[in-house]
Amino acid sequence: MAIKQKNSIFIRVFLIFGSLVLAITLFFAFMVVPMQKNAFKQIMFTQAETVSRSIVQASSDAIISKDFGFIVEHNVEVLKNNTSIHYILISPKVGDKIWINQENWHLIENLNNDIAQLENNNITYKIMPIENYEKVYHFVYPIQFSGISWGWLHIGFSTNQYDKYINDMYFQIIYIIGISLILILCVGYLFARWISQPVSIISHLATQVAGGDLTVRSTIERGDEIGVLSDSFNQMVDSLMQSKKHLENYNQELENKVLKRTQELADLNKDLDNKIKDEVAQRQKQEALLIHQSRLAAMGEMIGAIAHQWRQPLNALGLVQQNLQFKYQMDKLDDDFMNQSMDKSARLIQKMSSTIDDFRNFFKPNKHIEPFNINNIIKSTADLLEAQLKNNNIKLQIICNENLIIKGFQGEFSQVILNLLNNAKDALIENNPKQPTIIIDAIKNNDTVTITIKDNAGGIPDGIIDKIYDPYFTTKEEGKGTGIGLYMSKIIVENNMSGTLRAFNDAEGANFVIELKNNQD
Amino acid sequence: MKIPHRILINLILASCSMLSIPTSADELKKDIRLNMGYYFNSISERANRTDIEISLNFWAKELFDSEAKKHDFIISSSRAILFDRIEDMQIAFQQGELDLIVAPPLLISRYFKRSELGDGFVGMLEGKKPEALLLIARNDKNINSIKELRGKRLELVEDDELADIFIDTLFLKELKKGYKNIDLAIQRQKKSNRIILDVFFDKTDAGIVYSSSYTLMAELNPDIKNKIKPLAELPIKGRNFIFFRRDYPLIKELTSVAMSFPDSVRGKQILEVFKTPEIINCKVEELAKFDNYYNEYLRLKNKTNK
Repeated sequence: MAIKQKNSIFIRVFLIFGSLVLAITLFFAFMVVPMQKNAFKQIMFTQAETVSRSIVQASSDAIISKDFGFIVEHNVEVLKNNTSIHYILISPKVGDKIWINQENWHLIENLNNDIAQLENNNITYKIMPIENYEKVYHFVYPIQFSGISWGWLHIGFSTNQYDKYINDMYFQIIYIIGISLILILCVGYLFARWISQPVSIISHLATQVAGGDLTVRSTIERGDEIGVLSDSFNQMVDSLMQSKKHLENYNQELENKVLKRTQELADLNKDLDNKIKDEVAQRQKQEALLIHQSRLAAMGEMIGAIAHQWRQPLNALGLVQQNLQFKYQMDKLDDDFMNQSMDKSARLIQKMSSTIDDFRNFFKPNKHIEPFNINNIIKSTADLLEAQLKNNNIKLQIICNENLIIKGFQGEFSQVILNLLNNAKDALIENNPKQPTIIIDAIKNNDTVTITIKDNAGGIPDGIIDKIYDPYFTTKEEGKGTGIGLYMSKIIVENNMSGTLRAFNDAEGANFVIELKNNQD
Repeated sequence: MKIPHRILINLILASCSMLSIPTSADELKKDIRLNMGYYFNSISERANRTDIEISLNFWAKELFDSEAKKHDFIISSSRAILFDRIEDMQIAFQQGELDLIVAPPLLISRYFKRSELGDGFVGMLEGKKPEALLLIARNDKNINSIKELRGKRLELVEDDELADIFIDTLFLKELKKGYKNIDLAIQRQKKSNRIILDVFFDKTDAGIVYSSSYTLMAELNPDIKNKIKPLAELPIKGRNFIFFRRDYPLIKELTSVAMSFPDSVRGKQILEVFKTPEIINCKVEELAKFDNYYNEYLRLKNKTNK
């Protein structure tokens, strides 16, 4: 982050230091001026009093004896030796006054009011203009001998010295302020630099460190907190450098580990793919095998069903042959009988042939999705088991709209219906209810077609209802069931026809429900 | 401001006394001394002893050092000797201890042989006006002649033999008696200025003063001329005369240096101490006037005594 110039430590320290020194200097100057003025006035007063006392003491005899010659001579000499005195006025209470200045002296009879007002028992002074002097420190010293007032000594002091003191004082103050300003500039610069430079250096170094350069080091060597900060900074950078090296080593190590692990995972994935492919292939193979087995089982059952279907026409055909033989022996075989028998035989043979065609159609490979009539498929499938159902007195009731059509694999759907009817038949035979009944109910809802195959064989035992779709699971006697019928039915419905197959028990028996999408509309 | 030049001359001479100056290029490095003696009473009115000693032994030496280089001579040693008695100065001069003397002309004429003196110089008033002795008196005392001084108060300068001779001569001429034999109240003051003030303030009726003092005091207070008038005058050129020892080798050079005092700051400073603004040459023969005056005085005095 860039630091604004005005916010830098250097500028701040410089300004604070400079302002402080300047403020202190001005404060003292402000305080000193009136004090000095009073002091100078006091000095002037003291000097004036001393000079006055000296003059009076030196002239005391002359004053008493009225030796004005001495007084004039002495004061002329005083004036010559004291250029700061403009004039001396000897003012006796009685008689002429003697006015002496640097150029001449003379006698005067009366004082002007300004001066006369200053004559009293106390020492007084007044700064005022007198004669040709614009500004005079007029000092009045009462002359007394043995308590008797003789008169007054007036001395007009030049204020040049006082003014010079004041001017010198102002000059000195200006000088001091000037020196202070120079000091502020010099010392303040050095002081601010002394304070801010190491901080700036360390700040700059810290910025470099923050930028990633850990080779920088502070060269500041001082015995104060800055020195300690410098050492601490260097130690910190050393620590950072060591940490960075450790991190780099650790990163390198991690990278190596990651690479190694990645390689291992890649290898593992490769094996896994192969395993999955193998597994899928094996599963597919197994499924194909199961389907094949299922078909074989179905074919076995169909053979049984054909046998049942053929039993009645074969018996009838046998009876036709026995009647023919009997007529013949009775010699009553005529053409009509013969034709009737032949027609009947032909019908029976035709029926048997038709039965074969039905089974052949049922097992005919049909792997194309096509619309088919559900009612027709259910009835044709039920026809395959008609003989077995009649033999076992099982009543089959089909409730289905004759125009209910869906799209799908017709053969596989027939296989599912056959499996479920077969299972219901076996359950009814096994449990032998009073009126064994199978009800096939196919109804169309909004977007689904539901086919329910219901029996009254007492239902599936609760202990196995969750296992009935497992492959090779069967409750039938050995040799009567393979355990793949329901498994294949569920695979066909859910995988090939995008539907569902579920089972539940009601009060009478088992219910198998096939739900298919109504994709015909 | 006009100042008696007696002291001034002494000072200059004293300054000169600090020099030891060769007369030619060959003598530049010789150890030539300049011992100056002067009569203290004749200059004490103008400056105190300390000022004189400082001015002679430090300022004058410094000045002569610098001035001597300009005139191609070297000052090796100088010395100023103050004499309270003219007789002591006379003896020192006769013994060759002094190279230059500073004293009132009357005393020089009386105590020093002409044959031993070389030409010198004398301090003059501003504008090179000559000094003079004046007999002054208050106007309001009705004193218009020497005779009218009888019964009056008279002030004289202390230790000033010429003033005494001057007033004595006046009385001898007019009254045939010395002033000490007249009815006079005689007082003495150290300074001529003070006598004028005393006359002004009516502390005395008359006095003997130097004209330079009278002029000065009249400048300080012009009213003095209204109250005081001169009755008699004795021209004397200067209060003090400065003469070299006749065989002193650097009379011309030192006189030239003394003449250049007014041209330098330090020289002016020295002259200011002795209140003498101007310096002119002085011949030994000029002492004859004082010889004559003194001889006349002696004649009158002797005549009166007879």
